[in-house]
Amino acid sequence: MPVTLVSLDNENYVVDKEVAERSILIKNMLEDVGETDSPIPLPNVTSTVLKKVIEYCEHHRNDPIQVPDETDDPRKRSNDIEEWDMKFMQVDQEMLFEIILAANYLDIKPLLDVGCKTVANIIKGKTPEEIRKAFNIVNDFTPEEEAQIRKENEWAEDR
Amino acid sequence: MNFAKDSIAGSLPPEVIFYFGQYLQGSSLVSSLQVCRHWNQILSPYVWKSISKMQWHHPYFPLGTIFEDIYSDDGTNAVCPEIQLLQHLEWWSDLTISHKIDEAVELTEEFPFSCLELRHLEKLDLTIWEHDSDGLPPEKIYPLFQKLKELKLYGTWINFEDKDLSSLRHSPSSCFFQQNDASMTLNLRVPEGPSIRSSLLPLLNFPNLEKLKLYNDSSSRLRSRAWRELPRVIPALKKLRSLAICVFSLDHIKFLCAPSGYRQRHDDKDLPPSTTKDSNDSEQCLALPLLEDLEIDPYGFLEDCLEEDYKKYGECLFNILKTRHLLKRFIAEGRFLQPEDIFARPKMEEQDGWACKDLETLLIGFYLDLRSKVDHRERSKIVYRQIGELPKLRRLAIQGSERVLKFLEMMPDLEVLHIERDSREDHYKILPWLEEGYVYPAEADSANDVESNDQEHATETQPSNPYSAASNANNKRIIVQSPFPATLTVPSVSLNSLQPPTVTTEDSDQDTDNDSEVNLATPYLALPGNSSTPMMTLSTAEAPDEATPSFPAMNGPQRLAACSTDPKSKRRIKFALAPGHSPLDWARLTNSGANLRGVSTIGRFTLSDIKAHNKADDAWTVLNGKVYNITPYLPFHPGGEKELLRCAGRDGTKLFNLTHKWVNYEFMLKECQVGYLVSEAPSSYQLSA
Repeated sequence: MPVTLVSLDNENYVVDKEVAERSILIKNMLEDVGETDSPIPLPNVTSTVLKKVIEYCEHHRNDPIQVPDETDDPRKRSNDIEEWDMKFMQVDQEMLFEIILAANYLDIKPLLDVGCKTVANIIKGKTPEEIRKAFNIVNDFTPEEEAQIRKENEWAEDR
Repeated sequence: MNFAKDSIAGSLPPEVIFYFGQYLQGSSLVSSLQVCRHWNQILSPYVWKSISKMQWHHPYFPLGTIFEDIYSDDGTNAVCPEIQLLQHLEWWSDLTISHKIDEAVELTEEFPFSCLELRHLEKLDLTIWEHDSDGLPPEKIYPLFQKLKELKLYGTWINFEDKDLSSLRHSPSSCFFQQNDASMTLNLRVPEGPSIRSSLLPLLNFPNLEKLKLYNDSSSRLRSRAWRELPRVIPALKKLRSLAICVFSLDHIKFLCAPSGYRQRHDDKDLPPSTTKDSNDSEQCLALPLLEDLEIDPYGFLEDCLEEDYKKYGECLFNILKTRHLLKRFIAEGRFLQPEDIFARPKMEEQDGWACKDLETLLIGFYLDLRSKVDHRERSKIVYRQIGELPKLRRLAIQGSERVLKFLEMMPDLEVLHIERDSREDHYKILPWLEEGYVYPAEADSANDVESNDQEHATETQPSNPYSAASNANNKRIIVQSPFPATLTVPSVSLNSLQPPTVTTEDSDQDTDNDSEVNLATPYLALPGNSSTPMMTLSTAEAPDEATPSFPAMNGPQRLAACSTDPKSKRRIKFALAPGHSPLDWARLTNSGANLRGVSTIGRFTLSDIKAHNKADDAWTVLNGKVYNITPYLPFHPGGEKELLRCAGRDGTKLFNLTHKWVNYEFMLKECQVGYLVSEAPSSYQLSA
């Protein structure tokens, strides 16, 4: 049974329930309201982003639901992105963060993971200034504070 | 730069930043912390979430603030600082926590369970002050540290064996683990009261333990209880390298002896120790096969046991020395022992000697004197033979007459020697400098002392040339004590070796260059560089035995070393050295700064490189991995050029060791060293010689 999703800019997208339920948010909603054909409004997601998200969900519609592995190494790695996902994430930076935000809002953990890994890979090897530049972040530290933080955490650099 | 006001990245919701933070590591994480306050606040917990060994050792690692930091972190599950910390530290394999658990922190069941996460821990330094007698149930804690190699625990631990902890609520009973840098000390304190048991069983939870020191506070109760477990518990700690125990019965050390049927290896005699260590096929049945350091204090039981028991005890010690060739340090109380109990009997086969050729410290307070019917010469022989065969011995304590000074010549590298004469009451004086790491300051009491020293020394060790003087330079402390007020008697020793440098020609079979120590005598005081003279205080009440013991085993180096005072040993041919080629002249030459190497830089050579240098005008040899150009030394070799040329162009280590392994070749030939021996490999290079 198809589900209709409505984006922020009022575009309707009809997707399979199976695809829509990759989003835990939508899945919970559907469970709450029961059988319904009324469209689901997603007021936080623009149509361009929603299109991307649906593309991702379509591709991963048959993936098994992730079970968090408690015994896993807590130090997660950012270099194990699937090829398709990598390609999927080759978008401009604004879109990347939009996708991350949408994944967070829609509660699509695999997508959020992929997005965050991509961000982590961007950050990798960059100086703080380069990170700010890359992400358009305003530095609100004084130079002294910044140096202090660096010094305090120097030990954490070696792995 | 364009700072977009509505930059998405700058205003990401905290949970998203937190989420991608888990993929940040090392420098990425530290850089991210400096991006802006928002990020810093959210990401800083990650600094503590995955700490590796390397980070732990970083000089700036904020040791003292761990707990504060974790505590002030208002993360979601800050149950108690320890638990959170331990969760964070789950992957450490090397952890030092110095922490005090006191009333401020509620001790909960979770604590030991969170310790479970520390299963990779190899090193733990933990201080625990329990705030009530229930404390931490140790049976939950001990098993956590299976991989532990070093443990440093300060604090009070409840007894292990008592399942019913409530019965212990108000008992003062405790195990107290304490470890200094070198070893783990277990002090078991047992209170009065029959119901309390103390146990060594907790030790079984540290199968990787390498160092253990096990002494107790002389509680008689321990004799019957905890210590009864000793033979059962200690052998299970198979990786133990260092063990110090006090024992209350012979049964407690029997496990250290080789089981019957155990066969000692004989074939590793001339091999370097490294290969000896690798070959351990026959060690399988030996308890604690890796033991290098052993200290036995037979607490009390020797006081009131029969002579027979001493004998058994001595046999135990002998068995240990006989079978453990890794042993480097051996300390045992043995003042009532007869030498023949710890040393091989005169009639024994040669391979029944000690296996521990690497022994560096030997402290058996054995009483080397002449009380029993056995011919003391016979005894001395035994002793000399065994001790003289320990080329690496650096510290030796021995009781007995000053005649043992003869050992000096066999052990040029000896650093500490303590001889205590007949003083049964004060026999513990032998040990203090070692137990405390304290060396008696050696003082020369009087000029007479010094003189007698010099004579004694000159006679005994034949320091008739700079080599032997230098070879004794390591002899920093030689202490000979007598309980009696000293009547200074210069031992009546034969002074024939004090003759000016001459050449003695003796008929003999084979020879080499140790004769420099034996043959060419120059008065000791005339030597340059007297600063290296060992300090030595000698006071003796007894005129020494007129007869120098006829020296021992045919193969013992002491036989060779002593040959000048022993007319019976005529093994060496003394060659007439050309004038100007005395050892003293050699010393001058080496100190002159002349290039004796023939090469400009130290290099690496293979045996085939060395093969080319086998002629009298171009002779190289190898001694223990070092390559020497022996050409300049040839005319100085007291054993003759021809003899020395036998090892030209090849590895002379074996021949050297066979003839005079006590000679300090490293010092004598240090100006002649051209490099190091490397194994045949294409990558090795040769410098032009």
